Amino acid sequence: MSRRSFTKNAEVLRTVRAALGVNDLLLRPEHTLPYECDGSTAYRSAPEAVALPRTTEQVAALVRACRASRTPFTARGAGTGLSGGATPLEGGLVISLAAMNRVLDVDPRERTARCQTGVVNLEISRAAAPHGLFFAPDPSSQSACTLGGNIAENSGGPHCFKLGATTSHILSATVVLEDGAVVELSEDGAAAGYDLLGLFTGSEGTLGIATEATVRLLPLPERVETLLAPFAALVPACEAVSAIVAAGVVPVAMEALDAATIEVVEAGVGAGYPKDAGAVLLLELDGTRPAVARQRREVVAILRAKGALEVITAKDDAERERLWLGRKRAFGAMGRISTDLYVQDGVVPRSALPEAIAEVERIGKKYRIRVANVFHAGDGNLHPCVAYDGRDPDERERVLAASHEMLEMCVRLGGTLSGEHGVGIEKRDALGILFGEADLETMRRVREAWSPSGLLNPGKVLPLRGGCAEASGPARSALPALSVVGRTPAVPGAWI
Amino acid sequence: MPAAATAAVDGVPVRRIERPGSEEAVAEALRAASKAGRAVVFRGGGTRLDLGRPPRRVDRLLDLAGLSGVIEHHRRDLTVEAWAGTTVAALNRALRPTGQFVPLDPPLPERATLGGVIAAGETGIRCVPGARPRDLLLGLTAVLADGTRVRAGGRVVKNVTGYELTKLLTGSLGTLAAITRVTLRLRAVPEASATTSFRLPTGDRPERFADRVLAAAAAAPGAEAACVVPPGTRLPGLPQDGGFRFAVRFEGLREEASPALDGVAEAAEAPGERLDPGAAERFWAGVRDAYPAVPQASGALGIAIRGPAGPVLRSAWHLAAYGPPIGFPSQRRALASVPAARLASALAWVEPEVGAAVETAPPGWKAANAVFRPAPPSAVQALNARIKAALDPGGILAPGRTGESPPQEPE
Repeated sequence: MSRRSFTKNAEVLRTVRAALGVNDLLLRPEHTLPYECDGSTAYRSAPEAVALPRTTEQVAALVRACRASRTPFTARGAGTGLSGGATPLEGGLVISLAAMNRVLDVDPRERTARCQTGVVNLEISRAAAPHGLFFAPDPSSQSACTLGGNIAENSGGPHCFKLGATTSHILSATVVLEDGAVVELSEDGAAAGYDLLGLFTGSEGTLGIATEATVRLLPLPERVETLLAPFAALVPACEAVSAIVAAGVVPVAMEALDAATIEVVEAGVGAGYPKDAGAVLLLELDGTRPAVARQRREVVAILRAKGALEVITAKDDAERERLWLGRKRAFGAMGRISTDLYVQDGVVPRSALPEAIAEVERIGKKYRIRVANVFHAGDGNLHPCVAYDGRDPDERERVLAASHEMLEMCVRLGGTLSGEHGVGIEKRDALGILFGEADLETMRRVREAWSPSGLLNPGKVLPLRGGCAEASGPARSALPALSVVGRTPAVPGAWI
Repeated sequence: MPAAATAAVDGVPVRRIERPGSEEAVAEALRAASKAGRAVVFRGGGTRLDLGRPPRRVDRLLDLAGLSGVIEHHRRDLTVEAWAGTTVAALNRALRPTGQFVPLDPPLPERATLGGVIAAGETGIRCVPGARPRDLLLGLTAVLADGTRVRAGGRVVKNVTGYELTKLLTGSLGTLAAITRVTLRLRAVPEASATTSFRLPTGDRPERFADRVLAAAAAAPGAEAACVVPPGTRLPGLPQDGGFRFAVRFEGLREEASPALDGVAEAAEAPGERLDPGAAERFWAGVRDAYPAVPQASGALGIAIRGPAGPVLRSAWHLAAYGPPIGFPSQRRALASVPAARLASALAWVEPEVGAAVETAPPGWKAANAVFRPAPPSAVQALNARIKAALDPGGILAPGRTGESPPQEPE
């Protein structure tokens, strides 16, 4: 399908300028440069222009202009994504929701909040806190990432182990479709048709642009306790996680960090993790006081039985925050050990964690690469971080091969390719590891039915028909070819 | 296969029933139907077969109850894969020795199948958002109208790999594919269960009543089920003393039950009465089965209203004048029974932000009347129709059932 230039079409440009405020359209390369990529800086592609709309109507006007001029367009929140979802792969217009950043209303009685989707995740909980409520999805980037990005990626976070990912917390969303129509997709409305909101959430910006949403708020728990359990090695720590899940105890979060991660975290953040430990588990319990006390007894018994060297309970909120800071800043801290990082997001069934971790270590050794592990153990969601030197083509090739083998391993153990970062550009051509052609074709048909123009965030999520997964041998995860990669520093603004 | 002259789906006669015994037989039946352009309706336990608009015709009723049994119970992961024709009760019986269960609780669980509960999007009475079919369904295998077998999701609890076709099929009323296998999240059987019934003083204004119930529901984070029943509702296990009642079931740790229910009592500003375990079980089974699986009184419509909890409760309070409603504040929905002839006057009491759907109706009523009030916006209807056409291009799966077609004029 032919695509035209957006900015060279005087009439379209005039329409867009008329729809936006005077400073809300960025055209100069030095202004659009930051919009070339998201947190996965390995994928870069320059947009023609960047628009910063302030209302749903403005977004709809932009979308209509893009459609009229056959310009591809990509929505963007804070750009903290880690799979290239907000990267304008085919150029065109980036529609940033950054200026639509308000919590419009908190309804404590209904326990809901109405928000613009450019609002920063943490701002929702801040607005809800005076009412004793909070917004549950908590990606590590929650002080920067936006609600719209959370909806697009169906974001998780440590606490989704107990409370569910974003999809469980969105009641309705105002969505601009690719033809500029504005619809309200809601959980309540699903009774009269399909669960369009459920399908939209996690569709990585390929089905529409959410501009406002009503989110569910949960009551703040009466008591929260954070525990730290150092282990001699990562495998017994994973066995402890698996045992806790199997025992039916439900901590609100269970996170694991290996020795390599502890080292960089302690050097960079100083969270107070024991430097000589082979691994630590960070666990959080919540509920009523008696329930937390009881869970703590049960969890501590399992941790000890599985080889925890000690179990430390945070004494106060400051200590809790410090323990969590180490986890939430782990990825940024890795900038200390390497200029280039490749972070995976595979998932395995929780009982397979010990085996998966041993496999990650084996694969790392096989390809002579340095792997650090920091992950959502309660969900079986691995985050092997491969530190490498992007200037060395041989090392890049080994990273690519190792990453592919790790994803295959996750699927072999009964898992999946991505737990929370999404497919984006990065894993698009690896989808064939998990799904057959009929499965992928069904997804393509749904996408084409919903967004027939193909202008909405093109090139993401689904491999092309007869694409590399099929035609050119085994599917591969996509670490971009050296020629298109800039230097890819581990940015302190990115999280896992 | 025998002809079934007496069988009907929502008043539409069934021309033939087929009972495929395997996934391959389902695919074969669909390929044949697709080729011949025959309209197909799927049936699990047949408990919610009349949801949505009636199908325009039923050339083949594919009974999927034969695809039954547990495929694999991943005990340490708290997940299970089972054939979609397995009933909810049978699955939970199979799981019981392991101390785990699937927290689905549809009406008539001895008949309701896993595939049927998912296809119907049947919320059940557990009020927590994490226990709806859309939350519990991790993955599925389905057969499309042309006989193609597809897989979606997986068996891990966290998964953002590709589109969530699991969500698309949940509540799709058999209009997109035949669900053949499902993978579900399980929970550990709670060690304690306690139900308290709070009697709200009569003569309360609906606004105050709704506010107090909402405050009480908010004060009960451990509550797994909560409902409001009006006076005169003859539910087993509940004292018949002529007031509105707000019943809350707590499930969880022993230590939490009493503090949780005390918190509800305080917020509800109402005296509470603990139901003994037998009475509680009978009461919740009564609530579960009261609507909408049981045939309504002659000429009555079973309706569901959905929206913000406050407006839903206030609307339900008014609907009590027509037949006893049951309100589920934490689910933002209520079920009610209204005589068909008085539907318009009853719906006039329903607040503007609340939508209504007629779920069960006397034969022929739905063909002549709007089922969804208000009708979904046209842009949403168009999306639904395009998705339906993409996955079922021949339009053979329960044609006419989803909200895409406007109500026909009375004949």
